[in-house]
Amino acid sequence: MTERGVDDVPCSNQPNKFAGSCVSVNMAEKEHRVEFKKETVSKLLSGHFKEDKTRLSSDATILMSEMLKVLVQEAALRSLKQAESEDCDQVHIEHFEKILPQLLLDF
Amino acid sequence: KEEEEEELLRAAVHYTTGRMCLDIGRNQGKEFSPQAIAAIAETTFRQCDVFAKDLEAFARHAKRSTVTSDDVKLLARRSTALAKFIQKKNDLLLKEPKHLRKSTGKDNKDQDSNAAPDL
Repeated sequence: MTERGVDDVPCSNQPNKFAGSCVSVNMAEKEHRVEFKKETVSKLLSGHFKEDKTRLSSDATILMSEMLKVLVQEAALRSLKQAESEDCDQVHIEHFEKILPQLLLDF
Repeated sequence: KEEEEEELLRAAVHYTTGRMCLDIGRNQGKEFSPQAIAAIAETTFRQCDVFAKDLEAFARHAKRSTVTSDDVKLLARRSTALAKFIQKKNDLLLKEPKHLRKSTGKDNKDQDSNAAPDL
């Protein structure tokens, strides 16, 4: 149950050159630049609100973008660990299925 | 029209998830199958429904109609590490000068803080 976030990479001190974009253009730029766009997060959440008048503050949107990023990274890393323990080179859907219950309990 | 929008959002989530998985896989020397990525994306997409309803309920409980960062902090209560991580991110947001924050959102964020939590 102890998974490392991938964000914890040595290169995380680089200045952010791709402000506001969902993913960087350059493939060499590492994963801390891959994130959900604020616009996407905002639409994802406000679409599910029961009342139309409910709004989302911009700080909340940024934090939710971080939250979704952690969710995906945890899902990916835990699946990867599961695949590793089964000695598979590829991470398959079964691996994800096995870690899904605990993942959902954590979020 | 609404279904179209939902499909677009689903595609956006799928795309970003795919990119994240690709990066993680590259770092660890493993590959994600397309089905695994699709499953993670779909889970994330549906989890948003749960998140949105929780956030709305928290905001209404506080007699607000706007979801704020306090509600997000409450959403992260199930895991101590996640709660701490969100708290840290929130503190950084508050430290940022307001005029910088409005325009570009994320570019002036302190990269040192980017360490993800140990869950």
